Amino acid sequence: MTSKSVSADRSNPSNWTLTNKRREAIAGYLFLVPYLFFFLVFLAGPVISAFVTAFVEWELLRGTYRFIGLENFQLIMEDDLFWIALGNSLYFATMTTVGNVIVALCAALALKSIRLGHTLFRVVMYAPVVLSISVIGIVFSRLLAPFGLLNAGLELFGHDGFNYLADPNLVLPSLSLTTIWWGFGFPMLIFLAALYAVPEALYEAARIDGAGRWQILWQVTLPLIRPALLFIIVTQFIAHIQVFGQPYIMTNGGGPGYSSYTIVLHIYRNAFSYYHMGYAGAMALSLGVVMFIFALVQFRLLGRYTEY
Amino acid sequence: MQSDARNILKKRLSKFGSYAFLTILLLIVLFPTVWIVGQSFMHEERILKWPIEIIPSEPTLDNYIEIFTTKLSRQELSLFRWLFNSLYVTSFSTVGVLIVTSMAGYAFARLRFPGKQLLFFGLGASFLVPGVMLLIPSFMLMRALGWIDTHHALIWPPLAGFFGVFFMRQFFLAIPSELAEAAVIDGASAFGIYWRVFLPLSRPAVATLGIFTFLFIWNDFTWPLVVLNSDEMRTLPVGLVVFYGEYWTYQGIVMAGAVVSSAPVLVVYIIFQRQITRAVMATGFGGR
Repeated sequence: MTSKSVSADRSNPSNWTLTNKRREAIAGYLFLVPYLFFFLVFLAGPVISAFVTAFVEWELLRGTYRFIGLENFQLIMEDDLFWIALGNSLYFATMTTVGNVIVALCAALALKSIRLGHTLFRVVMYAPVVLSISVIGIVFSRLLAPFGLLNAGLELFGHDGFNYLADPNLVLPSLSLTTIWWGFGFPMLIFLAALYAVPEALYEAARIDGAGRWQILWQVTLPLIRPALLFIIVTQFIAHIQVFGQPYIMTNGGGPGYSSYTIVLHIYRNAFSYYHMGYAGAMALSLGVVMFIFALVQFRLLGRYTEY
Repeated sequence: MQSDARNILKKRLSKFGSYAFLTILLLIVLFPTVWIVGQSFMHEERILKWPIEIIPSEPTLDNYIEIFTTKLSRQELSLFRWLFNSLYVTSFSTVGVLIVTSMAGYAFARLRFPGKQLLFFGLGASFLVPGVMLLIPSFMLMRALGWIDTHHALIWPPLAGFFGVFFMRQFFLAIPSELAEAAVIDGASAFGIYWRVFLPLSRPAVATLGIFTFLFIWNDFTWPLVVLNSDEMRTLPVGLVVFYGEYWTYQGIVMAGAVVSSAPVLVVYIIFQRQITRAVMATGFGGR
């Protein structure tokens, strides 16, 4: 794609001399230098040191730093809290991703079918996405408090309400609903873009063939927006398995007990409360590598799907 | 004819269903918002009373006066300081990102040099590195640089982000080459072409990238939480949580704090919603 536009640039290659070529190459590198500097220092460097950190015992408080091979990974195997946290994160990420996809897809389908008020609906529904987790966390911990707004609403229907954030069974679903409220506007816009890209003629053809609305949805629309669906499912899952702010702010760092204790909270606590940098680094690396592969597979699949 | 009438009826019904669904969703989004704003204008005693009031019958500015004048009991700080820190860090970082990534994006879009494709995909792979993996090594880097509890730790690392490079490259690729050729004939240097031809033409793209970067840095929570530890250095999102811990029994004050810290981003969003929406739909970025 790049070469095409560049070759179009030089319609007459004969007056394109070697010195000009070299000069252009030098200019290219010079333009890249500032970015490359920051990339190497703040991205490439940390990625490399992430791999080193995972194999050392690094206690910031005691000042120990020594190579211990795979010991950190053995510790992970025996760390019950790690597995509890991983389970919670997986549960949360699955719930939130599924919820977001369903709400966002319905909203996008509805938005596509209307004209009057389209902008108003779209603008308002994306608005929570631009808010910070602090605002969301604080507002929803008040909303979901025992005497909060949601229970006051249930009271109108004669229901006693729930203690959403203090009930071990309700806390993760509550955090998940909060997160869906916060973020469904984003997948909604992605789905909307994908829906607009489906040629109208395909719907027309399906209708002429006598397909019903549900048939069109399942057999025309969904297969055609599969790349967008796949993209959203994978990126949402990766984002939500790293959930941190919601339990940090809303449930006092994972409560009640460890019911909303997530993997990133566990990493954060080990690194920045106990200063077990090596151990926390090993956990972060394990999680990171799995997600990296996950993302890579997704992009391979995306490449395949987009070539229909 | 009969089936035509049925089709029209069906279409009307489905449209009605769409509106009903969207209206419910709209109310679910708006209701907490109205409630927060209402509470922030309500006397503390009224908030505690039953039944709950959504729109205050006797609105007051007390909560807002309180958060901007009364100092936090512990550190003698107000939200003002955090607002200023956020503004300072975010503006500097955003300008830096725009300069550095637009230059790199230009090189990838319009200049020919050996190893370009390889470099582009190599840098692009950083897209897939999850944030959690970078948290600890980045913290150790800040420690080695002596940047813990300084604003340097928030300003410089975003300049390594690849999104800006990718975004600007896409835009520069779409600019017709005749314009650049005219400048070449006029004897402009590579930098001159970038500075006087491409950058002015890409003002909308720079603005969009600027808005995205601004929102992203402004809202960041985990990183500032990790690298800043004194209250006077904090940015608004982390400050607000500290504030919440301090004032958490005073709902009106907490809600006023939430309103004050959301107002700037919401204003930016409403002014630029068209650009934001278009960029999200075109690039697939901007979510969480």
